[in-house]
Amino acid sequence: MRTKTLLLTAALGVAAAATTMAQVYSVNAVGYVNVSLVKGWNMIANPLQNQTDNSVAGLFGDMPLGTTVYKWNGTGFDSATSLGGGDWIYGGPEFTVVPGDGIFVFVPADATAPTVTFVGEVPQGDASNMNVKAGFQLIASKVPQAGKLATDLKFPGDVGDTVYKWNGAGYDSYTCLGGTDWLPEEPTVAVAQSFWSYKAAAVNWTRNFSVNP
Amino acid sequence: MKKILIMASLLASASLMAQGTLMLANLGGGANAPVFDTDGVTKVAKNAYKALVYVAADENAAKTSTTPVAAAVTFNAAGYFVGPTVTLTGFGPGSKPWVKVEVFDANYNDYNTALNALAKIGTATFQLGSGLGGGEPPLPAPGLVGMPKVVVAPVVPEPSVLALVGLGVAAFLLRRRN
Repeated sequence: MRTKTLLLTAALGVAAAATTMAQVYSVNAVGYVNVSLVKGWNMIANPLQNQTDNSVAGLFGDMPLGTTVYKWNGTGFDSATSLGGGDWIYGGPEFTVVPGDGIFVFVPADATAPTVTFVGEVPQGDASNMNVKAGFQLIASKVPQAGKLATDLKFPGDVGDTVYKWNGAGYDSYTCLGGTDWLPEEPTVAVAQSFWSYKAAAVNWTRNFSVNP
Repeated sequence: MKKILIMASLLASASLMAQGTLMLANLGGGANAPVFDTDGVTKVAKNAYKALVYVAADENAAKTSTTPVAAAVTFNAAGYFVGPTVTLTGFGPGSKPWVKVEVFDANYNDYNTALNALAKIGTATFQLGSGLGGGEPPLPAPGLVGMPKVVVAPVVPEPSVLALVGLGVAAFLLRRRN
Protein backbone atom coordinates (compact mmCIF):
# COMPACT_ATOMS: atom_id res chain seq x y z
CA MET A 1 0.00 0.00 0.00
CA ARG A 2 1.40 3.36 -1.02
CA THR A 3 0.14 6.38 0.74
CA LYS A 4 0.76 9.99 0.07
CA THR A 5 -0.24 12.60 2.51
CA LEU A 6 -0.50 16.28 1.96
CA LEU A 7 -2.01 18.71 4.34
CA LEU A 8 -3.65 21.26 2.12
CA THR A 9 -4.70 23.94 4.47
CA ALA A 10 -4.55 24.91 8.04
CA ALA A 11 -7.46 27.13 8.84
CA LEU A 12 -6.65 29.50 11.59
CA GLY A 13 -9.39 31.19 13.49
CA VAL A 14 -8.54 33.86 15.94
CA ALA A 15 -10.78 35.18 18.63
CA ALA A 16 -9.79 38.05 20.83
CA ALA A 17 -11.40 38.82 24.11
CA ALA A 18 -11.41 42.56 24.48
CA THR A 19 -11.45 42.58 28.24
CA THR A 20 -8.48 40.31 28.82
CA MET A 21 -6.72 40.72 25.49
CA ALA A 22 -6.18 36.97 25.58
CA GLN A 23 -6.14 35.21 22.23
CA VAL A 24 -7.72 31.82 21.54
CA TYR A 25 -6.53 29.94 18.48
CA SER A 26 -8.54 27.27 16.71
CA VAL A 27 -6.56 25.24 14.23
CA ASN A 28 -8.16 22.73 11.91
CA ALA A 29 -5.83 20.69 9.77
CA VAL A 30 -7.60 19.57 6.63
CA GLY A 31 -6.10 17.48 3.89
CA TYR A 32 -6.26 14.31 1.88
CA VAL A 33 -4.63 10.91 1.79
CA ASN A 34 -4.36 8.76 -1.33
CA VAL A 35 -4.47 5.02 -0.73
CA SER A 36 -3.54 2.77 -3.63
CA LEU A 37 -5.38 -0.52 -3.39
CA VAL A 38 -4.17 -3.82 -4.79
CA LYS A 39 -6.25 -6.56 -6.33
CA GLY A 40 -7.47 -8.98 -3.69
CA TRP A 41 -7.48 -8.15 -0.01
CA ASN A 42 -6.44 -4.80 1.46
CA MET A 43 -6.47 -3.96 5.16
CA ILE A 44 -6.81 -0.20 5.39
CA ALA A 45 -8.42 2.63 7.34
CA ASN A 46 -10.00 6.02 6.83
CA PRO A 47 -7.28 8.33 8.21
CA LEU A 48 -9.28 11.58 8.19
CA GLN A 49 -12.59 12.70 9.64
CA ASN A 50 -14.76 13.53 6.66
CA GLN A 51 -16.90 16.48 7.66
CA THR A 52 -19.87 15.62 5.46
CA ASP A 53 -20.09 11.90 4.75
CA ASN A 54 -18.22 8.95 6.24
CA SER A 55 -20.50 6.37 4.59
CA VAL A 56 -18.95 3.80 2.27
CA ALA A 57 -20.40 5.57 -0.77
CA GLY A 58 -19.23 8.94 0.53
CA LEU A 59 -15.67 7.74 1.14
CA PHE A 60 -15.12 5.36 -1.76
CA GLY A 61 -17.40 6.72 -4.47
CA ASP A 62 -17.13 4.93 -7.80
CA MET A 63 -15.22 1.67 -7.32
CA PRO A 64 -15.01 -1.31 -9.70
CA LEU A 65 -18.04 -3.61 -9.79
CA GLY A 66 -17.82 -6.19 -7.01
CA THR A 67 -15.39 -4.25 -4.81
CA THR A 68 -16.35 -5.09 -1.23
CA VAL A 69 -15.74 -3.19 2.01
CA TYR A 70 -15.87 -5.18 5.26
CA LYS A 71 -16.09 -3.66 8.73
CA TRP A 72 -15.74 -5.71 11.92
CA ASN A 73 -18.76 -5.33 14.23
CA GLY A 74 -17.32 -7.18 17.24
CA THR A 75 -18.60 -10.62 16.30
CA GLY A 76 -18.50 -10.64 12.49
CA PHE A 77 -18.19 -8.46 9.43
CA ASP A 78 -20.71 -6.06 7.94
CA SER A 79 -20.18 -5.57 4.23
CA ALA A 80 -20.94 -3.21 1.37
CA THR A 81 -20.48 -4.12 -2.29
CA SER A 82 -19.97 -1.76 -5.22
CA LEU A 83 -22.43 -1.92 -8.09
CA GLY A 84 -20.28 0.56 -10.01
CA GLY A 85 -21.12 4.18 -10.80
CA GLY A 86 -20.92 5.16 -7.13
CA ASP A 87 -23.75 2.82 -6.10
CA TRP A 88 -23.20 0.52 -3.12
CA ILE A 89 -25.35 -2.22 -1.66
CA TYR A 90 -25.10 -3.43 1.93
CA GLY A 91 -25.24 -7.11 2.86
CA GLY A 92 -26.65 -6.17 6.28
CA PRO A 93 -26.79 -3.01 8.35
CA GLU A 94 -25.38 0.17 6.83
CA PHE A 95 -22.21 1.49 8.43
CA THR A 96 -19.74 4.33 8.39
CA VAL A 97 -15.94 4.26 8.51
CA VAL A 98 -14.37 6.89 10.75
CA PRO A 99 -10.76 7.37 11.90
CA GLY A 100 -9.78 4.50 14.19
CA ASP A 101 -11.91 1.95 12.32
CA GLY A 102 -10.05 -0.72 10.41
CA ILE A 103 -11.59 -2.24 7.30
CA PHE A 104 -10.91 -4.89 4.71
CA VAL A 105 -11.40 -3.97 1.07
CA PHE A 106 -11.57 -6.68 -1.60
CA VAL A 107 -10.78 -5.62 -5.16
CA PRO A 108 -11.83 -8.12 -7.87
CA ALA A 109 -9.08 -9.76 -9.87
CA ASP A 110 -10.47 -8.51 -13.19
CA ALA A 111 -10.62 -4.88 -12.06
CA THR A 112 -8.07 -2.12 -12.47
CA ALA A 113 -6.63 -1.58 -9.00
CA PRO A 114 -8.15 1.72 -7.84
CA THR A 115 -6.92 4.53 -5.64
CA VAL A 116 -9.10 5.89 -2.85
CA THR A 117 -8.73 9.52 -1.85
CA PHE A 118 -9.76 10.18 1.73
CA VAL A 119 -10.52 13.83 2.43
CA GLY A 120 -11.12 15.37 5.82
CA GLU A 121 -9.81 16.73 9.04
CA VAL A 122 -7.02 15.44 11.27
CA PRO A 123 -8.53 14.36 14.60
CA GLN A 124 -7.07 16.37 17.46
CA GLY A 125 -7.40 16.55 21.21
CA ASP A 126 -9.95 14.17 22.64
CA ALA A 127 -11.04 13.21 19.12
CA SER A 128 -7.61 11.61 18.62
CA ASN A 129 -8.08 9.25 21.58
CA MET A 130 -9.84 5.92 21.42
CA ASN A 131 -10.76 2.90 23.49
CA VAL A 132 -9.15 -0.37 22.48
CA LYS A 133 -11.48 -3.18 23.47
CA ALA A 134 -10.61 -6.55 24.94
CA GLY A 135 -10.43 -9.41 22.46
CA PHE A 136 -10.04 -8.92 18.75
CA GLN A 137 -10.59 -5.46 17.32
CA LEU A 138 -9.83 -4.24 13.80
CA ILE A 139 -8.43 -0.76 14.35
CA ALA A 140 -6.08 1.94 13.10
CA SER A 141 -4.38 5.00 14.47
CA LYS A 142 -6.81 7.90 14.69
CA VAL A 143 -3.95 10.23 13.85
CA PRO A 144 -2.68 9.91 10.26
CA GLN A 145 0.89 9.12 11.22
CA ALA A 146 3.29 6.39 10.18
CA GLY A 147 5.79 4.85 12.53
CA LYS A 148 6.45 2.33 15.25
CA LEU A 149 3.20 1.43 16.93
CA ALA A 150 4.18 2.04 20.56
CA THR A 151 7.24 4.26 20.23
CA ASP A 152 5.81 6.72 17.71
CA LEU A 153 2.06 6.22 17.84
CA LYS A 154 1.83 5.65 21.61
CA PHE A 155 -0.16 2.41 21.30
CA PRO A 156 -0.61 1.10 24.87
CA GLY A 157 1.10 -2.29 24.67
CA ASP A 158 0.61 -4.68 27.55
CA VAL A 159 2.32 -8.02 28.11
CA GLY A 160 0.73 -10.63 25.89
CA ASP A 161 -0.97 -8.19 23.55
CA THR A 162 -0.84 -9.34 19.96
CA VAL A 163 -1.01 -7.25 16.80
CA TYR A 164 -1.68 -8.81 13.40
CA LYS A 165 -0.82 -7.06 10.14
CA TRP A 166 -2.00 -8.21 6.72
CA ASN A 167 0.88 -9.12 4.39
CA GLY A 168 -1.18 -9.71 1.26
CA ALA A 169 -1.67 -13.41 1.82
CA GLY A 170 -1.98 -13.83 5.58
CA TYR A 171 -1.14 -12.24 8.88
CA ASP A 172 2.20 -11.31 10.43
CA SER A 173 1.91 -11.32 14.19
CA TYR A 174 3.72 -9.30 16.84
CA THR A 175 3.58 -10.06 20.55
CA CYS A 176 4.12 -7.42 23.20
CA LEU A 177 6.45 -8.02 26.10
CA GLY A 178 5.43 -4.70 27.62
CA GLY A 179 5.56 -1.10 26.35
CA THR A 180 7.80 -0.76 23.32
CA ASP A 181 9.25 -4.26 23.70
CA TRP A 182 7.78 -6.58 21.07
CA LEU A 183 8.60 -9.91 19.46
CA PRO A 184 9.88 -10.44 16.84
CA GLU A 185 10.07 -6.62 16.67
CA GLU A 186 7.94 -3.60 17.30
CA PRO A 187 5.37 -3.39 14.50
CA THR A 188 5.27 -0.37 12.24
CA VAL A 189 2.18 0.92 10.51
CA ALA A 190 1.72 3.22 7.55
CA VAL A 191 -0.80 6.03 7.25
CA ALA A 192 -4.25 4.52 6.58
CA GLN A 193 -3.06 1.01 7.44
CA SER A 194 -5.18 -0.95 9.90
CA PHE A 195 -4.34 -3.96 12.04
CA TRP A 196 -5.93 -6.47 14.38
CA SER A 197 -5.38 -5.86 18.06
CA TYR A 198 -5.85 -8.67 20.56
CA LYS A 199 -5.89 -7.54 24.16
CA ALA A 200 -6.78 -9.31 27.38
CA ALA A 201 -8.30 -6.15 28.82
CA ALA A 202 -9.69 -2.94 27.37
CA VAL A 203 -7.48 0.14 27.54
CA ASN A 204 -7.50 3.73 26.31
CA TRP A 205 -5.18 4.71 23.46
CA THR A 206 -4.53 8.31 24.47
CA ARG A 207 -2.92 10.71 22.02
CA ASN A 208 -4.37 14.17 22.73
CA PHE A 209 -2.81 14.99 19.39
CA SER A 210 -2.38 18.56 18.23
CA VAL A 211 -1.02 19.93 14.97
CA ASN A 212 0.42 22.83 16.94
CA PRO A 213 4.10 22.31 17.70
CA MET B 1 -8.66 -48.98 21.51
CA LYS B 2 -9.56 -46.45 24.16
CA LYS B 3 -6.96 -44.03 22.78
CA ILE B 4 -8.32 -44.42 19.27
CA LEU B 5 -11.84 -43.67 20.49
CA ILE B 6 -10.63 -40.59 22.37
CA MET B 7 -8.74 -39.37 19.29
CA ALA B 8 -11.75 -39.98 17.07
CA SER B 9 -13.96 -38.15 19.54
CA LEU B 10 -11.57 -35.19 19.65
CA LEU B 11 -11.36 -35.04 15.86
CA ALA B 12 -15.14 -35.23 15.55
CA SER B 13 -15.65 -32.46 18.09
CA ALA B 14 -12.99 -30.30 16.39
CA SER B 15 -14.79 -30.78 13.09
CA LEU B 16 -18.12 -29.86 14.66
CA MET B 17 -16.64 -26.78 16.28
CA ALA B 18 -15.01 -25.59 13.05
CA GLN B 19 -16.87 -22.51 11.89
CA GLY B 20 -16.24 -20.81 8.59
CA THR B 21 -18.15 -17.85 7.23
CA LEU B 22 -19.75 -17.31 3.82
CA MET B 23 -21.37 -14.22 2.34
CA LEU B 24 -24.61 -15.13 0.59
CA ALA B 25 -23.90 -12.97 -2.43
CA ASN B 26 -23.26 -13.54 -6.12
CA LEU B 27 -21.45 -10.19 -6.22
CA GLY B 28 -18.64 -9.09 -3.96
CA GLY B 29 -16.03 -10.90 -1.91
CA GLY B 30 -14.54 -12.25 -5.15
CA ALA B 31 -17.85 -13.26 -6.73
CA ASN B 32 -19.39 -11.81 -9.86
CA ALA B 33 -21.94 -14.24 -11.27
CA PRO B 34 -25.08 -12.41 -12.35
CA VAL B 35 -28.24 -14.41 -12.95
CA PHE B 36 -29.84 -13.95 -16.37
CA ASP B 37 -33.39 -14.10 -17.65
CA THR B 38 -34.49 -16.69 -20.20
CA ASP B 39 -32.73 -14.94 -23.10
CA GLY B 40 -29.38 -15.49 -21.36
CA VAL B 41 -28.48 -11.83 -21.82
CA THR B 42 -30.79 -9.72 -19.68
CA LYS B 43 -30.05 -9.72 -15.98
CA VAL B 44 -33.08 -10.71 -13.92
CA ALA B 45 -34.96 -7.76 -12.48
CA LYS B 46 -34.39 -6.44 -8.98
CA ASN B 47 -36.83 -7.89 -6.41
CA ALA B 48 -38.27 -10.33 -9.00
CA TYR B 49 -36.33 -13.37 -7.79
CA LYS B 50 -35.04 -14.97 -4.63
CA ALA B 51 -32.12 -17.28 -3.94
CA LEU B 52 -31.66 -20.12 -1.48
CA VAL B 53 -28.16 -21.36 -0.67
CA TYR B 54 -27.23 -24.86 0.52
CA VAL B 55 -23.80 -26.04 1.65
CA ALA B 56 -22.45 -29.58 1.94
CA ALA B 57 -19.20 -31.50 2.06
CA ASP B 58 -19.51 -33.01 -1.42
CA GLU B 59 -21.29 -32.45 -4.71
CA ASN B 60 -23.96 -35.10 -4.29
CA ALA B 61 -24.81 -34.00 -0.77
CA ALA B 62 -25.12 -30.42 -1.97
CA LYS B 63 -27.41 -31.39 -4.85
CA THR B 64 -29.71 -33.39 -2.59
CA SER B 65 -29.65 -31.05 0.39
CA THR B 66 -33.04 -29.70 1.43
CA THR B 67 -31.87 -27.50 4.30
CA PRO B 68 -30.76 -24.02 3.23
CA VAL B 69 -28.21 -22.19 5.34
CA ALA B 70 -30.46 -19.15 5.69
CA ALA B 71 -33.80 -17.74 4.61
CA ALA B 72 -34.18 -16.87 0.94
CA VAL B 73 -32.31 -13.74 -0.15
CA THR B 74 -34.14 -11.36 -2.49
CA PHE B 75 -32.27 -10.02 -5.50
CA ASN B 76 -31.52 -6.46 -4.40
CA ALA B 77 -29.99 -5.37 -7.70
CA ALA B 78 -30.55 -6.43 -11.30
CA GLY B 79 -28.93 -9.86 -11.65
CA TYR B 80 -27.46 -9.80 -8.17
CA PHE B 81 -28.33 -10.75 -4.62
CA VAL B 82 -26.14 -9.45 -1.82
CA GLY B 83 -27.26 -11.05 1.41
CA PRO B 84 -25.94 -11.56 4.92
CA THR B 85 -22.86 -13.44 6.05
CA VAL B 86 -23.60 -16.80 7.65
CA THR B 87 -21.54 -18.98 9.96
CA LEU B 88 -21.28 -22.60 8.85
CA THR B 89 -20.75 -25.12 11.62
CA GLY B 90 -18.67 -28.08 10.53
CA PHE B 91 -16.79 -26.18 7.82
CA GLY B 92 -13.58 -24.58 9.00
CA PRO B 93 -12.08 -21.29 7.87
CA GLY B 94 -10.25 -21.77 4.58
CA SER B 95 -12.26 -24.85 3.61
CA LYS B 96 -14.03 -25.00 0.24
CA PRO B 97 -17.37 -26.78 0.60
CA TRP B 98 -19.84 -27.53 -2.18
CA VAL B 99 -22.64 -25.07 -2.68
CA LYS B 100 -26.05 -25.30 -4.32
CA VAL B 101 -27.86 -22.11 -5.28
CA GLU B 102 -31.55 -22.22 -6.17
CA VAL B 103 -33.05 -19.18 -7.87
CA PHE B 104 -36.81 -18.87 -8.16
CA ASP B 105 -39.59 -16.42 -8.97
CA ALA B 106 -40.13 -14.23 -5.91
CA ASN B 107 -43.90 -14.73 -6.15
CA TYR B 108 -43.39 -18.21 -4.72
CA ASN B 109 -42.23 -19.30 -1.30
CA ASP B 110 -39.57 -21.70 -2.45
CA TYR B 111 -37.90 -23.36 -5.42
CA ASN B 112 -40.10 -26.47 -5.54
CA THR B 113 -43.34 -24.49 -5.39
CA ALA B 114 -42.10 -22.35 -8.27
CA LEU B 115 -41.00 -25.50 -10.15
CA ASN B 116 -44.42 -27.10 -9.81
CA ALA B 117 -46.14 -23.91 -10.93
CA LEU B 118 -43.95 -23.86 -14.08
CA ALA B 119 -42.53 -20.50 -12.96
CA LYS B 120 -39.00 -19.46 -13.91
CA ILE B 121 -36.27 -21.12 -11.88
CA GLY B 122 -32.55 -21.81 -12.11
CA THR B 123 -29.98 -23.74 -10.14
CA ALA B 124 -26.24 -24.27 -9.88
CA THR B 125 -24.05 -26.60 -7.85
CA PHE B 126 -20.35 -25.88 -7.55
CA GLN B 127 -17.37 -26.11 -5.26
CA LEU B 128 -16.62 -22.79 -3.59
CA GLY B 129 -13.63 -21.24 -5.34
CA SER B 130 -12.34 -19.39 -2.31
CA GLY B 131 -11.77 -20.56 1.26
CA LEU B 132 -14.38 -19.71 3.89
CA GLY B 133 -13.73 -16.76 6.17
CA GLY B 134 -13.42 -16.84 9.92
CA GLY B 135 -10.54 -17.95 12.14
CA GLU B 136 -8.52 -15.90 14.59
CA PRO B 137 -7.99 -13.16 13.79
CA PRO B 138 -10.89 -13.47 11.39
CA LEU B 139 -10.71 -13.25 7.65
CA PRO B 140 -13.73 -11.75 5.89
CA ALA B 141 -16.20 -14.12 4.28
CA PRO B 142 -15.98 -14.66 0.53
CA GLY B 143 -18.97 -14.33 -1.75
CA LEU B 144 -20.20 -17.26 -3.87
CA VAL B 145 -16.91 -17.50 -5.74
CA GLY B 146 -17.03 -20.04 -8.57
CA MET B 147 -20.78 -19.86 -9.12
CA PRO B 148 -21.44 -20.68 -12.79
CA LYS B 149 -23.79 -18.77 -15.07
CA VAL B 150 -27.43 -19.30 -14.15
CA VAL B 151 -30.26 -18.64 -16.61
CA VAL B 152 -33.80 -18.81 -15.25
CA ALA B 153 -36.54 -20.55 -17.22
CA PRO B 154 -39.69 -22.53 -16.54
CA VAL B 155 -39.06 -26.27 -16.48
CA VAL B 156 -41.51 -27.58 -19.08
CA PRO B 157 -42.13 -31.35 -18.98
CA GLU B 158 -40.42 -33.13 -21.88
CA PRO B 159 -42.60 -34.57 -24.71
CA SER B 160 -41.72 -38.12 -23.67
CA VAL B 161 -43.00 -37.43 -20.18
CA LEU B 162 -46.18 -35.93 -21.59
CA ALA B 163 -46.59 -39.00 -23.84
CA LEU B 164 -46.23 -41.33 -20.86
CA VAL B 165 -48.81 -39.34 -18.94
CA GLY B 166 -51.13 -39.55 -21.97
CA LEU B 167 -50.67 -43.32 -22.20
CA GLY B 168 -51.42 -43.66 -18.52
CA VAL B 169 -54.60 -41.64 -18.82
CA ALA B 170 -55.67 -43.66 -21.89
CA ALA B 171 -55.02 -46.93 -20.05
CA PHE B 172 -57.00 -45.69 -17.07
CA LEU B 173 -59.96 -44.71 -19.28
CA LEU B 174 -59.88 -48.06 -21.14
CA ARG B 175 -59.85 -49.99 -17.91
CA ARG B 176 -62.73 -47.94 -16.58
CA ARG B 177 -64.77 -48.62 -19.75
CA ASN B 178 -64.16 -52.39 -19.44
